[in-house]
Amino acid sequence: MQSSIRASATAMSGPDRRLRKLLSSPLALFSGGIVILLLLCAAIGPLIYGGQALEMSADRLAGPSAQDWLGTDELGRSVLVQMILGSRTSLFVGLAAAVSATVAGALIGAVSGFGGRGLDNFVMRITEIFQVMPSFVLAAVIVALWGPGMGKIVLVIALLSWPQTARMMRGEVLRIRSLDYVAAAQCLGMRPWEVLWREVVPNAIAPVITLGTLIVGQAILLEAGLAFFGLGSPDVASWGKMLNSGQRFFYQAWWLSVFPGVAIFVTVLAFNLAGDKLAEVFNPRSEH
Amino acid sequence: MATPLLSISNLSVSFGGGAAPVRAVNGVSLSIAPGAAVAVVGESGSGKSTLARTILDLLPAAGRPQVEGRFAFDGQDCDAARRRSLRGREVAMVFQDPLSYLDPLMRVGRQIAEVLAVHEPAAAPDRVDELLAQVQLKPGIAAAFPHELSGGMRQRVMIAMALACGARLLIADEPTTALDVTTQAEILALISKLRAETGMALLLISHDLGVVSTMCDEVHVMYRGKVIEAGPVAQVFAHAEHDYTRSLIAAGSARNAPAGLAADPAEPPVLKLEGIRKSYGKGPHAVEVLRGSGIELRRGETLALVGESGSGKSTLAKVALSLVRPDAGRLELMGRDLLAMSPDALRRARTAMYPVFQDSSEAFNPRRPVLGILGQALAVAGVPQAEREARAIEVLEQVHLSPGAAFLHRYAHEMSGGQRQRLAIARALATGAEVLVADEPLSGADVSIRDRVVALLRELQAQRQLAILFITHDIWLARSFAHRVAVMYKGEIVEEGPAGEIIDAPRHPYTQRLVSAAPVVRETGPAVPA
Repeated sequence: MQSSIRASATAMSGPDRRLRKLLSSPLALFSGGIVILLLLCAAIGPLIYGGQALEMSADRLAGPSAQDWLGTDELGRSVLVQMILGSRTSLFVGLAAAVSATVAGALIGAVSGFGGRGLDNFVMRITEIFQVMPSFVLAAVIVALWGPGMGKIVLVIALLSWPQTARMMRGEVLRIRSLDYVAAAQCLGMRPWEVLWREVVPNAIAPVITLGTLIVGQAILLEAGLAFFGLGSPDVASWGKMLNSGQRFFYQAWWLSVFPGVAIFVTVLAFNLAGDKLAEVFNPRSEH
Repeated sequence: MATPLLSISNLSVSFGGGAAPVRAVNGVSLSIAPGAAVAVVGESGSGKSTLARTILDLLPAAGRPQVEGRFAFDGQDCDAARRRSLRGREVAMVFQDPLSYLDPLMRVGRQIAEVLAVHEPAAAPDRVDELLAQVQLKPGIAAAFPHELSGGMRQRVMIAMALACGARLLIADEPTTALDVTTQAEILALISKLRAETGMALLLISHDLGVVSTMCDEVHVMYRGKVIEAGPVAQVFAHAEHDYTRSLIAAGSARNAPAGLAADPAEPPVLKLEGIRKSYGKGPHAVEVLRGSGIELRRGETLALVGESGSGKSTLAKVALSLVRPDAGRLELMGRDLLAMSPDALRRARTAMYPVFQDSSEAFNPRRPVLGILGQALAVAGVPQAEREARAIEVLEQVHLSPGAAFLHRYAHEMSGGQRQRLAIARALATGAEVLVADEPLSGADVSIRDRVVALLRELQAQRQLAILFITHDIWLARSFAHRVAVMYKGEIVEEGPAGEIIDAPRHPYTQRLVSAAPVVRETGPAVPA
């Protein structure tokens, strides 16, 4: 009985099997659920609560209650509503930075690993230059020079993150290009870029995507850090900024700092766990 | 009869537990007299390694093994704990891959000294050198790390460690499978010499009857967990009852008649390599891998390229496939010079030739199912998209993967080794290639798979007049399968000619050494007509 189930599982095509594998793992469901919930919050939340964001009330620095679930700040604004607005900033910055870093890094890394030794050396030295830059200081300098703005923050984070992706992609490409099936593809008369694109990249991409989800977490942290030090965009709500303004009232109103802090923690954790699970599922050889 | 050193009765081992445990060993009994040499032969999955590991209770706990049966060592009953206590005291074990059993961060002398510290605390400080001398290694080797030694030297260190514990039984699990024939011959000679000196008994696990017949008095043939034949070596060989045993014997002997010449030497070759030179590295560190080697391959003919690892035969295959560009020389396929072509022309011309690699999970893109793999190859042959599925089924059935439709959506890593190897041939056929370059396609394959693949290649060669460049280290296989043999040594072809002539009467000293080192099934019983 058991063996017949297994046999039908192997007969299923790849995507089906991967989906089933994802759905059967509690950790994947949990982290994936949180990521989806956060995305929903960021997408729909502001449409419902957006208007109330700057609504002040007489209830200043009120603790969590039935009316204001997460309390209010020093101007009587709802912490919950601000957090929902802030999720937009955090997720946008995180995802945009991760996607651009992953795409750029993967392309550069693939070319570096597949091209000649000279090109490879050149690209790797450049990644090293980027990797030794103190990221937070660089971000602070750019913001100080050109003024704050979400686009700039995304750019800074992407600039700092692509080298990790490029190096990982290059390593994978170097490993895979020496395997027999790549030689077999060359012997079929494929052009070098076809071999790279159709045989090498699909097998190299899984760990890079996982790394991308880790970059989401790093980017959210970096954005929060910048906002905490007052280097974020002044006109958008963000979890980091809430932490910054909350610290002044830490002893009177813990909820101003704790809830945004928890939000950052949970978001970064969820993306990292989801990334780990994705990597496992995308490995065609892993069983069950 | 005296008390056997080790006796195993009615041993069964199953893995996995639950509703459907997998039975790896099924009711095996054997006994080893003091000082005797007993062999267990069988293919991978036959349970021979499980049997060997059970003796010292070395089975991986993750497999949830269940062991039934009785063990007695020196006449005393042994439970699992007692068997564990035999390890490294009464019984020592040597494995196929010594590198993974030696500590990479410790000098080998210290590793041997560690064993001595346990078993011979009073040993003199030069005891390590003594042991090294016993396994014919220089004392200086003690200061080396395992990765600095060759495979044969590592195996000698493992044997020295076995000697250090003064074992009375040596279990050798495929001890020479990873080694070249000449090194293999040296290690086997060493084990025989030490047995003569110390009276140590030997349990040899092997898939190679040639090795077994030079080393052991008694053989047990295992097949799917059971011993199907057992007895003195000569007797089993003379009166093999089981088909499996017979094919094992045939694989290791010079009994099969060599194939005659298939092609007229006057006919122009389809693949021709001439004066190929290739070196790696620069300046004083440059290593010349190919030193002006050349071969010619004609339609309908199989040319075996034999030689030890490091002789350059794989590099020559890569040059032939245009995967490596030589420093000098000429490469002609179907009369056209591939080295002088533009990259575009080369892309089109090279598809007349296709590789069949050693079976490994790396021979196929893990993301493509069989249909995708064959579809790519059929596209090269110009088969339109709509017909590819039907043609893929046809090709699969030609290599006896039938019903072909059942394989289309599988992935290569879901298939068995033999099926995968036939898929590799199917892929080559699908491209319409007329020249196959097969680099050790059968090394690591079991005899039963090997026979079937060889028969398949012969059949296809007869149908399509395929030219096959067959790279192998197995000279008996080369003799029975190839029409001609070229012997490669240090980047040069030292001897070339009809397979029977070259192997039965080698002229070059290297070929002579290679042939005499290759273990051959020693048939001491009444001769069986070929």
